[in-house]
Amino acid sequence: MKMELRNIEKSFGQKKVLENVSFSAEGGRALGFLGRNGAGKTTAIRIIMGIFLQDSGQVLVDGAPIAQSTARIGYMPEERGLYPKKKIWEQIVYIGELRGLTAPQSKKRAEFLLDKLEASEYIDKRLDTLSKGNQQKIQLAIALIHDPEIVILDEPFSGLDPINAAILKRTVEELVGYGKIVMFSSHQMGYVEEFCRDICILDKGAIVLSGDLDQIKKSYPRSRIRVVPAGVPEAFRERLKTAPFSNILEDVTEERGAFFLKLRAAKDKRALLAALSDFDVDSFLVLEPTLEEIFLEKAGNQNEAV
Amino acid sequence: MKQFKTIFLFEFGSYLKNKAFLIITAIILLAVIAVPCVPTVAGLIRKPESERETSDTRKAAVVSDILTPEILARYFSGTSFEFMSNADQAEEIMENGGYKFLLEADETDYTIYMNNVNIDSFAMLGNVEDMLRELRMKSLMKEYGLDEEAINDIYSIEITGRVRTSEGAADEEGYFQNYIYAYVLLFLLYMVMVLYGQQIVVSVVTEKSSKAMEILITSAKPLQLMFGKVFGVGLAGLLQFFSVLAAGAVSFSINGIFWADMYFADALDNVQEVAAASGMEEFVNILAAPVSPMLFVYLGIFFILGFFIYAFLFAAFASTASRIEEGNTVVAVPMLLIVVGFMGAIFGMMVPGAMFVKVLSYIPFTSSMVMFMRVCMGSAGALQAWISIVILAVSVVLCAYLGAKVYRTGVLMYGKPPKFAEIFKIFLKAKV
Repeated sequence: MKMELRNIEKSFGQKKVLENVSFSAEGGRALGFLGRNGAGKTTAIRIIMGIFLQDSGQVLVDGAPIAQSTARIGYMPEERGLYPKKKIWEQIVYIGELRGLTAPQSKKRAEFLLDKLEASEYIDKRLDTLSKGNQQKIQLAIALIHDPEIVILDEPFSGLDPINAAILKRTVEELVGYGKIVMFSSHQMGYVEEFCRDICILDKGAIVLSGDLDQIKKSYPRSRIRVVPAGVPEAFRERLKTAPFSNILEDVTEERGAFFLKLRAAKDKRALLAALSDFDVDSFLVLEPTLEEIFLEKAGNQNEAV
Repeated sequence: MKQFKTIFLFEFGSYLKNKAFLIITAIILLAVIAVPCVPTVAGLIRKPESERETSDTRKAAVVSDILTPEILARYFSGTSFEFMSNADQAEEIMENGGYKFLLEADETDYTIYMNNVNIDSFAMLGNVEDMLRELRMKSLMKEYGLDEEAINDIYSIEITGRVRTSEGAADEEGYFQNYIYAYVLLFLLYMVMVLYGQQIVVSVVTEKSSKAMEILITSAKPLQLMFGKVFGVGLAGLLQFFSVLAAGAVSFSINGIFWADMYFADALDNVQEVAAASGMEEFVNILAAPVSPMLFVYLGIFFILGFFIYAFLFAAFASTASRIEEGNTVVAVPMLLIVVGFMGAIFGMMVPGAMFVKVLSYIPFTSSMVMFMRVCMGSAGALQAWISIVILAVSVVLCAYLGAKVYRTGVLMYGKPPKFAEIFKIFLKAKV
């Protein structure tokens, strides 16, 4: 199953919010949907869900335009919200019914999900009596109540303790395992890197990067090396200032006993290795770019203050 | 459609399950049932059964040469008088004899001794003076040479009359009969629309501020959401309102006789005479007069249509607010319409023929109250009423449709609520 956005354009009045946005998400491979605050992610999601109508462009599922009324999409919005003063059980079942389940079906699904998410003990409690993390589990249950084929999760891990985060991870992995299309939006790059095989970065309404994450990483030159010398750093530091190091290294930074060496050219890696054979090193690591670095490069502005 | 049913049941149900709602309703119900019982209970406590005067006999003492049992009976039906020779030691006489009052009267002067002065005292004084005046007039007429027959003729003059209006189709006494109902019902209409309109506003804005809206909007069509809420909240509110009204009416009618007892303190099968005696004849006539059932039909129609047109407007405007504090400001426009309607109707009762009143009775935002008033008063006939009803009904549908458009867009808008002009643009552009 494949979901595709093609040339989506959207403006609100004079403000252009999405410009020629195209990307795709496949079942069984989670998509990391990234972007700064205000980049247009929520708008794109709402267009997928049919809440907003795009000005032009298409949303396709397996080649055909998405049928909003029948498409089963589960959405966990970043802005968590429900009826704080009502019981959990009531709300889950209600939403299930709204999405087309009968009352008995809805109840069964609710029970099943709460059990899976280890939140069954809260079944009769009011939403606002739960901790933030538990509220989030309930939100997830609601997103999944109708067994959707497309699941869109916006910052699902924020505020979760490690145990609950693990439960969530397991659930998402299962969803991916079932071949569902999972779209994952988060600023916590660690999680995205863990789950998502594909990524897509949105910046100021336009796609700046999309594709298979591994391939993207490989496309970056492997020119950063992390070396930890065995002995005293001073000697190593001084040595780096001389040839042959000074010829092949563009930049050297130090952090807590580790030296980060940036090669002028990636092919000089072997030369570096050769030059280091004189030294005793504890660790030699070729660094691949982290998602965070990629993100900062593509969507960040070096001159802006963080 | 199924979504509507689900939403409606949810909204209706959660309103009814709301503890605050139930408690407040219970308290009001209790109050409304209990208050009319007060005079009953008070009456029972004041005088234990054995000593209690039967309601159709009061005793009074009278010292007079000119008063006769006949004229006393006419002006004070239900009171039996005992004649005394003089009024010395009036208090003792009254206590010993258990008299309500002692009246000492001659041709042009009287003194009345009472245990205490209360509301019906004034009415009583009026009766005494009327009585003495009648006697005096008759005796003067005799002095001037009129005979018995002439005097009787003078005292049995009857004037008949009727009111006809140029547009009225109500019967001749329409005006007088119905103005009290118009006042009361208009006020009720106004109260209900404002009260329950507010409930709708609060419900919508709470959903937005708790971000429940994010989930709801992805689960159901905005039209269904709006309708489900308006009907759900509206129905729960109306149920509360009418149950309170009904309880009050029942309680009052059961206890009403005791109210009469307290104020009129006379024979209850002589309401008319009693009313006449205390000068409240007009009032009682109006209440007791038969009311055309058509009036209630009109009431029902205007009530329902009026309620819904405002409800949809409230829901639509409320959807543009993000926080409770903004809730009241954004619904300023619909509130204004209700107030204008109400004021127009009240004012129009005094000047029914005025052009602005006629106009208001057709404009759907005000017609529910103004046209209803005109129907009550007889200044509009069936034709006019039904034209207005049709306009109103069509407008309700339109407001529902346009309201849904605004609702759909408004619920996703956070931040400063848009101005009226922007809302208008949304009307035109949004899809439902």
